[in-house]
Amino acid sequence: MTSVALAPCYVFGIVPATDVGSRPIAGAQPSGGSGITAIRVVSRGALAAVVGSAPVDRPIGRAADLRTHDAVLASLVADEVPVLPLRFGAVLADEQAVLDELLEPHHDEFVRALEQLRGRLQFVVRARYEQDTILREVLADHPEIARLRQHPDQADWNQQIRLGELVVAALERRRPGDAETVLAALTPLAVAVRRQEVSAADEVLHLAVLVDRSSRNGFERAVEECGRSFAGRIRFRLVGPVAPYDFVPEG
Amino acid sequence: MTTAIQQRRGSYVDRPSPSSLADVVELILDKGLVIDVYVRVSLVGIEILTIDARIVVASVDTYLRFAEATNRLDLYEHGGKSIDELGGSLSANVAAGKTKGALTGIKDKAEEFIEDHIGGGDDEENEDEGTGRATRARRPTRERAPAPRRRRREDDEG
Repeated sequence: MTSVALAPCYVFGIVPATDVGSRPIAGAQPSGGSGITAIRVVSRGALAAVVGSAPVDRPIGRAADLRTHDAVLASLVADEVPVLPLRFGAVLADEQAVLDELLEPHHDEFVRALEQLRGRLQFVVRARYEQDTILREVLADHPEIARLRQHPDQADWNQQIRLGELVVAALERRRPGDAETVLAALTPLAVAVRRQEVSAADEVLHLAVLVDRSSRNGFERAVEECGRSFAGRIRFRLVGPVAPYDFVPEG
Repeated sequence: MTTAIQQRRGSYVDRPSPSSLADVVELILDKGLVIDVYVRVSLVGIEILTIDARIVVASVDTYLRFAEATNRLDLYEHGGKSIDELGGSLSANVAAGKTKGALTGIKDKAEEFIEDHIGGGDDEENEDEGTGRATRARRPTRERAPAPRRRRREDDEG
């Protein structure tokens, strides 16, 4: 198709140049099967971009590519390097374009954003009702649901839909109170909290939380304490620390 | 719930380590810095398409799933027999069975999609709690025009 040699450059994230220097990135090994190779650092001014060579013969988006993106950024987090993660799939024409079109024009803005993120970690907290426990609660609190259950005509499609609809509505009424309790417990330990949309009727809360490194232990203990106090009723899942995917400046 | 979860001894919180593919996908897709220069992604014709595996789960399916769970609860309380143990004679299973069929179909479709576009090798992780979004990148088109990013999403309780 084209006779121009392509050297497309995949960009993982932007870091302060002084934090990476010329030393190799610890997590620089691409996941097996990833098309992103030769992970390295290019820098201009106070900034550096962690980049890799993007494949020219196939699109990006395989599982190994996603894992590589995550692993490289995670290794920077582990090394306590502040990082602005780019959205998965960011590719520029070549290294020169990374310097001239990404780092140069946004230099001051990125420097400021990185200073804001220095010494801070992102966690993801998800809370979900234990299904049997919560359904028993719902039945106890809602006589009309219990009635539908006691006189089941389960072959009646409409009645089943009505039953499920009432259960889902009851869960949705229950959610805000429980979500607020968890939020109130975690927010004091956070620099910032971003609430994400829940993805299922029995999910209570989905949070992205930015935490000072010095508050990390306290925050993890607070999540653990939530897990303990809601044990048997709400199940907690804690992912992180991860790169601050949810706390980059808005485009 | 999944093989990827390691529950630390004595902990009340799931700390997945390493993160499952579903965690990674949920974490990084549609997240991170986007800047004007980003349109240059199209220089190599890469377009990322994301979907939710639950895209086709209509609210009716959600209702029926919770109805089924509520009915199952009833059976557990009266002697601990599961629907399976009671056998196929229950007309009770008609609605629940249909729901299950629909949900299984959706799951199959999602897994098929993930296999096609993310690739195998992570099968056990793709089933993680219905959060299994999938990604794919389209073939390079070698066009200079910015590739439109598309995302379809329907909440299953909408």
